[in-house]
Amino acid sequence: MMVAEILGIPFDSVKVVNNDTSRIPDSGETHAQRGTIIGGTAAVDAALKLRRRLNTVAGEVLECTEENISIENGLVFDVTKPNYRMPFKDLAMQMYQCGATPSEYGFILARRGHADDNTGLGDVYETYSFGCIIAEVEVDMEMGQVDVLKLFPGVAAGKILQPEVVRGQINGCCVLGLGYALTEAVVREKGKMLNGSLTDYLIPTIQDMPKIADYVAVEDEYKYSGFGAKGVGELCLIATPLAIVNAVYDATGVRFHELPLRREDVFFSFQE
Amino acid sequence: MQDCSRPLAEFDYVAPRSLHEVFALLQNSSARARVVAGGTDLMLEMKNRSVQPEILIDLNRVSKLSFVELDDHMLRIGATTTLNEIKESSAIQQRAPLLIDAIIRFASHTIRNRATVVGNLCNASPAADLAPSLLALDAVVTLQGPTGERTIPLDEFFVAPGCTAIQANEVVTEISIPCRDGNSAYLKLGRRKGLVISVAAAAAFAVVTDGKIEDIRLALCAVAPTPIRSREAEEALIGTIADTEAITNAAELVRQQVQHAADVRKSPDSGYKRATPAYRVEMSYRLAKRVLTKACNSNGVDR
Repeated sequence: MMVAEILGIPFDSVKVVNNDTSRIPDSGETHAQRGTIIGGTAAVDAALKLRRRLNTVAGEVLECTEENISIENGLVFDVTKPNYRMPFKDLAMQMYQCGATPSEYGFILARRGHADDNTGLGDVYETYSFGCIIAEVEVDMEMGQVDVLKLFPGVAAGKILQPEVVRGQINGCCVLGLGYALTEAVVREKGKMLNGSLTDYLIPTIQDMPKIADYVAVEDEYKYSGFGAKGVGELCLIATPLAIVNAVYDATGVRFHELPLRREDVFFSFQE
Repeated sequence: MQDCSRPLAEFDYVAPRSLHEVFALLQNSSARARVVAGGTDLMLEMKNRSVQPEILIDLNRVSKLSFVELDDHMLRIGATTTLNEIKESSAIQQRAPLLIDAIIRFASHTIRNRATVVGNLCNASPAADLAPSLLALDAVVTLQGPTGERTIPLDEFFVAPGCTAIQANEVVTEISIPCRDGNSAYLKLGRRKGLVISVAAAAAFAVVTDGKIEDIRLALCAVAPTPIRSREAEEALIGTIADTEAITNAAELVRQQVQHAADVRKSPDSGYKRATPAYRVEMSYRLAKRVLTKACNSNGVDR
């Protein structure tokens, strides 16, 4: 989407090639919302370089300065003469005929810090996104049941590029976080997992899902990434179980220090 | 965990057309014959190798075993009638809504398309989800064998986990429910809301006239080796005014009954991966209190 935006072409005309990591330089692991900021910013770098070349060639063809070239929805034109618009395909053909390469490479030099071996603390990543969840719960103290009614998510993840994708990521975090908070316990006996099936290791079903409010985004744009995006990833997963546990504390005055809040443990905590 | 990687042992599959053929097959095969209707429990048991039948006898092609009928104030449900068929039956909806309440909380729609009410009872899981409702409705089990037919109350049907009063040469052909006007309530407690094995479930059916309990039946599952009826609690309530004190006292009797059963019950949940006995005891007390309260006070209105 970032590339399409820069090149002025339709979103679905950009094809992403999945590379073999054994044949390309190492760009680090896939974690910590790095997809948007690392891959995205490198793609933006390449697209900007290519766009400059496109502008040069287009300026020659349309007999105008490079600054006056605009490309919108796959059509190339001189902003002072917007009536004549050349298809992007024709511009590509011109590039080919004049020997200008249509390929470009982009780079990002990602800062990689190291966490202190003893404390685990340190400024490790390029930049940081922030997420929060507000949980509304109902607790049946007689039965020891926690019912999560609604989750209200918020993110500060730089510029939001695709709201639908962000919503999907956040909803996923709410599902995962709900299981993390209420049911997903590994039961072991002498190191052996006793509940190694989905019959006994319980993930939330559609019937367990709370309502999820529209997310609030604080667009704290990052200076050194493509479009100022920082990435969302599984940002809200950390906050979801904590918000639920805090809401239970707020509702009942009972503080839980272990996840998940198994119904049985909750029940006996209330009896004390 | 059993080893599911090695192939299943070979077994024969037969789908007879009549009960006579079923009896002949049961007669001629060893003890390792299994009668199957929906198979939603049996297939899993075969997959994890806890059951390895030599012959599977499928009842689904036997004629006249799938039905819901209402005659002489008696609801009759056939052995191969699926849960969704029952759920859609207007006779059941009107005369035995307590069974519908349990079916709605029973597994998923796809499972209910296959699973049968009779199969759920014959599997005799301590947590059989339909048992509390049917026990509270005073259901009767009809068994047929080569020499004829007999009926037993559902309360005498469950013997031990996975074990029923069915003789080796018999099959259950139907469940019948006497229809009576009254109020009912069902509650199921699992570790999550949907698609879950019960930690405890309870059902109550009550006939209350002018605040006085004329008749009441209370049953629970997943709190003892078999689904149970709580006769002591029932007897304590009959003839009394349905107030909080009477119901709390009755629920206390349930707690004692389940406490005793929990002491007996050792094996099914090794490591208590689902729930500890102490928790089930407490939940049975609270579920009993809630279903009794609801069944005694609903006046047949808020169903």
